[in-house]
Order: sequence, then structure tokens, then C-alpha cells
Amino acid sequence: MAEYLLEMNHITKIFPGVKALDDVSFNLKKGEIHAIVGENGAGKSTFIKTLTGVHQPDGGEIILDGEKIVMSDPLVAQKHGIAAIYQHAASYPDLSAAENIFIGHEFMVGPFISWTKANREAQKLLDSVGANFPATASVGSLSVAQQQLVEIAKALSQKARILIMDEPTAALSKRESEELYSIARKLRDEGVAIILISHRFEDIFGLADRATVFRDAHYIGTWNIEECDEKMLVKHMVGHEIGDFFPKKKTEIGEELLRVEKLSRTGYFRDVSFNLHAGEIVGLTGLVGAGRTEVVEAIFGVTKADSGEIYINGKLVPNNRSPRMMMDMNFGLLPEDRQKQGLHLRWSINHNTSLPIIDECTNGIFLSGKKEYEISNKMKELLAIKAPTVDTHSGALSGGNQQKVVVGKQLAANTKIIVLDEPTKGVDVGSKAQIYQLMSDLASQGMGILMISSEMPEVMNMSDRIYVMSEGHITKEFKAEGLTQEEILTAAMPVERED
Amino acid sequence: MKKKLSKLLRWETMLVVLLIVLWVVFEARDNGLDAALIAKGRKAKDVFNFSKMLNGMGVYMLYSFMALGMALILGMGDIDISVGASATLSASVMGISYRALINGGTANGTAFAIAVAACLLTGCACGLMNGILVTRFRELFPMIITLGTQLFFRGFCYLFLGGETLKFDGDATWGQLKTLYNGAVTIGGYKVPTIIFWFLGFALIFFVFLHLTTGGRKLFAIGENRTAALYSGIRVDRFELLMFVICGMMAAISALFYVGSASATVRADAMTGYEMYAIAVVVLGGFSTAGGKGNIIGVILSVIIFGVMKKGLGTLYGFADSTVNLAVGLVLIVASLLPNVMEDISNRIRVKRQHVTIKATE
Repeated sequence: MAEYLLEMNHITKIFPGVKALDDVSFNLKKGEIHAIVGENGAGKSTFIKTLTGVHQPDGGEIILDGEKIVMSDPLVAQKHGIAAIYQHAASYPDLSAAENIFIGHEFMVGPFISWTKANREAQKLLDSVGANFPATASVGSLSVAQQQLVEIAKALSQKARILIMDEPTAALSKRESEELYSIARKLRDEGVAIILISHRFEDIFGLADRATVFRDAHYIGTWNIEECDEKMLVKHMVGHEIGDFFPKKKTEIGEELLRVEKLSRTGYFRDVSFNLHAGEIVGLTGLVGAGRTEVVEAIFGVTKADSGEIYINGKLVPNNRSPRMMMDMNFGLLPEDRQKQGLHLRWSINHNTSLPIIDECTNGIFLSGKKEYEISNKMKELLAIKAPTVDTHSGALSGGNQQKVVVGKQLAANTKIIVLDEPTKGVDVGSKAQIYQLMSDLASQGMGILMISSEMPEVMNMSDRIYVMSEGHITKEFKAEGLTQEEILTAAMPVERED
Repeated sequence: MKKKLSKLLRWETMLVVLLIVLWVVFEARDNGLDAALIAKGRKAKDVFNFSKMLNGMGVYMLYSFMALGMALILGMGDIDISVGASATLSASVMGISYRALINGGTANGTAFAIAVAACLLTGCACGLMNGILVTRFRELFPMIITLGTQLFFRGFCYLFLGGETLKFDGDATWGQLKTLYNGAVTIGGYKVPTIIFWFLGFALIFFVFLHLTTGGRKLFAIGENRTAALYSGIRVDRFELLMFVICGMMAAISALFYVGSASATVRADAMTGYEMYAIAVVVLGGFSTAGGKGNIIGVILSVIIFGVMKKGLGTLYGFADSTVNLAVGLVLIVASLLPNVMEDISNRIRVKRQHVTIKATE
């Protein structure tokens, strides 16, 4: 009997243009929870996909139970008892939990599916993972946490020996996460080996027995969890120590750049008033769905507000505003979804950067490539965008660098007021620090920054002032100094109504 | 080396190869048929050669102007299946306004000039209507909207004309349209129809617009990602509306040539299905229906390819024109699938090359 249930040795995977995995090794013991950590783009998902047979490695070997295995397709992996549950459960919302669990391996009676048996077996599996809903419930009606239980039950129904959990707690509340932890521990004690992929240190320290770090497609090391702390893991993930994570500079607050008065849009937000000064970083926070993004979209002219006024440099902005008009008034918006709203992913950095000012990149009537390169090279240097050249496709960049390209688009358009909607969402630790540095620099150059964010640490550490929104209106304005997280959260909570 | 290979794999290069292959096959078939005739002691017919192809090209170009407008629409990820009906409506308005003006005592020349202007304006108006509907009702597919306007425009043609055929073939001023279509100049011993020059002239304008100006960049930005284009400060609705108007105008220009080809007659059922030829030519030319990419050079090449296929299959194999559509459709399907296959192959080649360089550095 081999020491390890699974050994993956010297795995290399090459995609057109990039080496996604370079000589990566990993091993897994029976009945352990092994965390894989790394920044976005470190190669974690590709690694998992070579294990589940989605990708074939270009080098290296996979040894399961002492036997060399070729994972030629996902079915082979399934046959060997390898199952994965993903962040966004890939289930069929209109089918019942039982149907989801046994899809592809139904109980047959002649040509018919035996639903009574399926429902009974599904209920047994669901009960074993502590589910509190019937197997006949349609998956679409379940919460995310419950859907994940269905996925786990599905993995168990396939007699999984190795269970891969990819960001399992990303969409879960604290209590739901705790419940998931105890299920994971129970499975481990029953002998299932679990590979855990997570960005959350609570998951890693609360659950894992060992942790392996990947960085830039390379294997960095494996440690027992007792040997690790957060600082040391971050250092290995990023490759160097992160000094001041929130480099907020004290800057002189200048005159008022933006003032919004009683802006309303029926059904989304009402009577929203705030202002923003030169050199100031203002945080706009609140729970998801409080209406923050809708407010800035209405200011930017993507949607129409029903009433209210907006002043830029003291001048009233007309009601028929469009993104073009706002950009001409030096107002820029970094949208929440950079992949869908911020970038043309199949375009180069160069073409993305020049798009907002494309009408200025001409010699009379013809496009001037020279002028485009001038501005995009300048932005690449200024923002330290990590890419071979500005001709690199923006889709090939990491989340943090993509975000920098979107910022570059705003700066190219000579923006003075910039709204950043969740600027560090899906951005890894190293790039986060760079984005904070950039915000601080821009503010000290006299720009006004409005940052929408749900992440309390960045709201509290980067802002001069903070507005909190709840249910479509601003409930509170705070000075950042001396503020506690509880005060913000209290303001963000919807008011309890008497029933 | 890498540059050369990716250049070789360009879509336009594939179209040139396809054109050459078709040409060689047709020439061989023609020579074979002629050899058989000569063996029987008769004279060679020589139905397929460069000069005959050039001479007969005009009829296969009637939808080419529409295709240029369609390239703008497909480049933005939209579609307009009403252009055939827009063209017929434009021609109908031209015929009716001319007849009314003549009956009202206007001089032939003036009436004709007004009628042609009315034709172009009608095309623009059709495009405007499409554009407004598409940009105002984003929740509806452009395909469905323009299906509606197609029926609407065609219905108008019947409302105006019924089953009547407006005949102006005796009218000297309308003869100008016939000359527009039939005219030819002799270059180096070859008779070249003037419609080819008209097409190439328009194609040049569209090429410059799409590939050398900011307008083209904006168009492809909209096609690639409409939301990101909006957030980048492009006035998406206004721009898209303008492109639909231009597309409608190009349909009206196709209508002018069509009336010329039909001996200066106007009927309500003319140009039925032309929108499909226009779309087919643009898609074969390398424009993706998802928007965001394409090249006018490809459209020019595929107009020629469609002409050569129709002429070759028609004269050499004796297929009726409508039967030839079978082959045209087949080519279109294969051509639409090919880019995916080619991307796969070129990715494989790239990965292999990376392997080699990795091995070499180890």
C-alpha cells in the first residue's frame, strides 16, 4: 500500500501562448483535507482540470493507489472516484435534487427510471450530509448552501474517494460555512480525501491538514497547517513580503468636484445626495443589492434617473447625459464587471486603452496607430501593467492587470472624477495592494475618487469619508477616523419591520 | 516564420485558394467538354473562360451593394433581413413617383432625378425604421424585428403596385438605368461591365471606413462587446442607427441596378430572397454573425466566388440557377465551420512549437 492515495508528479500543461503548469507536483493522503492556495492565475484550476480529465497534461504522471493512470476524459476520473464540486454548482435548477444527484447513472427498471428508488437513495445521501430538505425539492428553489449539499451528495453517490471543493464557501454566510466545514470533516473521518481550493484563510486554517502553494504555474511547497500562518502563506503566494497593504496618504482636500442632490430612480434608489472633493477618496458601501451600482450607473448616463440633480465643478449636468458626455466632463466609471463592461477581452491592451479617446487618435480622417501606441504605452508604464507588450490580448491578463487596463482607459480620457465599482473584486492579494497604492497616488494628484466596495477593510482603510447605503437610500455618512466596522454594518442593515 | 504562417492561415487567403480551385476545376471541365466536341468533328464552345466570366459577372453582383451595407450590420453583431424588401419598396416608390410626376407634367429628366432621389431616401427611411426599432427594443432580436419590417415593406410594395408591373423600358431617361447595368468598357481586349467598377468603388469606400477610420473601430467595438463600448464612451445607439440607415441606402442602390437589369421594370415581387444572398456573401467573406470581426476584402472575394460558382455550375454542368443554390448553401455551411477548425489547428501548431522551444532550452 502506497503512502499516498494520489500522487501527481512533474505535471506540465501548455496552452497556446502560456505555460499554465510547469513541473508541478502534489500528493494526497487518504482521509486528509489538503488545501491548494495561490493567486488568480497561479494554475490551481488548470491543475484540478488535469486531475479530473478535462485537460490532458503535456508532461508528468498521475499515480492513484500506486498505479499509473491516464485521465483521458472526465468519465475516467469519475470511474476512479474523483469528483469535483464547484463554486457555481453546475446543476439543473428545474430538476429535483434526486434527479440532479443521479443524473447520468439513474436506477433503471427495464427501460424506465425507478424514481421511487432514486428518491429513497437520494434522501439517504442527503440525510448523511445533514440536509434539511426533501430529495424531491427542485434545485432552483434551494439556497446556494443547500445546492452545494446536493453536489456533495452527487459526489458521494458516485462513490467518490477524492473530493475536490473549489471555493466552496465563496457564496456562503458564516453559519453556512461552518456547517459545510463540519460536513467536510465528517467525510474526511470516513476516509474521503478532500482537495480544498480557497482564497479564504478561515477555510484553510479552519479545515485543512496540509497546504500546498502554487505561484505563476510553479509548485512552491507543501506544509503541515500547524507550520503555517497567514503572513507566511501570503509571502509564498505573492513571492515577496507585502509591506504597507493600505498605503493611504494624507492629502489636502480641495474644492468640491461632484455634488449629487436627491437623485432618485423608482424601484432602485431614492433621494441619494452626496458630494466628493478633489484629493478625496470617498467610500460608498452597503450590502449587495443596496443600490450602489444603480446610483453610479444613473450618474454616468447608462440608465436614466427620474429626478434629482448632479453638479460637476458646480455646473449642473443635463438630464439627457450619456457616458460620452460624462467622459467629456472628465468623469470616469470603472464598472463592476470588468470582463463584460470594462474590457474588450479579445482586443489588445492598446486597442482597449485608446477606445475612449479614439476620436483623438487620428491624422485628419484616418486612424493613427502611432497616437494609439503613444497613449497605451504611457499607461502601461504608469500603471505597471504586467504584459510583454501593449499588443497582448487583455483577455490573457490576470484579474489585477485587467483592472489596471480599465483604469488606464479612464486616465487616458483625462479623468478628474473617477468612480471605482468594486475595484478589487476577484483580484489577488498582490494586485490589490498595487490598486490601493494607485488610488492613493491618484487622490494625491488632486483627483476625486468614489469607491464602491463591500469589503470592510478597504472601505475603512482607504476612505476619507464613508457613505452607507441600505435599501436604495443613504442611511449614514461617516468620517473614516475612529470608525468601527460595527457602526458601518448597523447602518447597512435593512431596518427591521414589525410584522 | 510565425508571422508568415498566421498570414497564410488568414481567411482571405483561404478564399483566394477556393477561388483558384473552383477556377481550375471549371476550366478542366470546359476543356474536357470541348475536347469531346472536337472529337466529334465540331467546334469548341469554350463556355467558361476569363472573358466570358467577366462579361457575365454583372448579374451576380446585383446583391453586392446590399452586401456591403450588410457587412456593417453583421460587424456590429446585428442582422437585417429586410434589405430585399427595402430595395423593392425603394424601386416601387421610384416608379410610382416618376409616373405621378410625368402625369403631372414634369419634364422627364427632372422627374427621373426626383424619382432616383426618392428611391435612395426610401432606402434610408427603411433603414431608419429598422435602426430605431433595434436600438429602442434591445430585448427583441434584430432578426425578428427585421423579419417584421421585411413583411411590412413587402406589404407596402403590394399596396402600391398590386400585381401590376410598371414598365419604363420605352422611356429614354430610364434607359440610363439599363446603361448603368449593361454598360461596359474595354480594357486590354476584355469587355468589363461598369457595374464592377461601381461595386469596387463602393467597396473601397467601405474598406476605408471599416479598416482605416475611427468609425470602423467603433463599429467592431460595438460588435465585440456592446456594453463595454457604451462604457467606453461610444454613442452606441446613435452609431448603430446610422449604420442601419446606410444599410438601407445600399439596398436602394442595389435596387437601381436591379431595375436596370430587369429592362427598367418594377414589380412588387422583385428581389425576393436577395437579403439571403447578401448575408451569405458577407458570412463567406469572413464576417462573424456574432459581430466584431470581418474584412471587406473577404466580401469582395466571396462576391466573385459566388459568381464563378453560379456561372460554372450553371453553364458547365447544366444545373438550373435555383439548383445551384444547393452548392452555394453547402459552401456557406462548410465555410462557416472552417474558422473554428482552423483555430484549433493553429493552436495545436503553437503548442507544438512551444514544446520544441521548451525542449531546446532544457
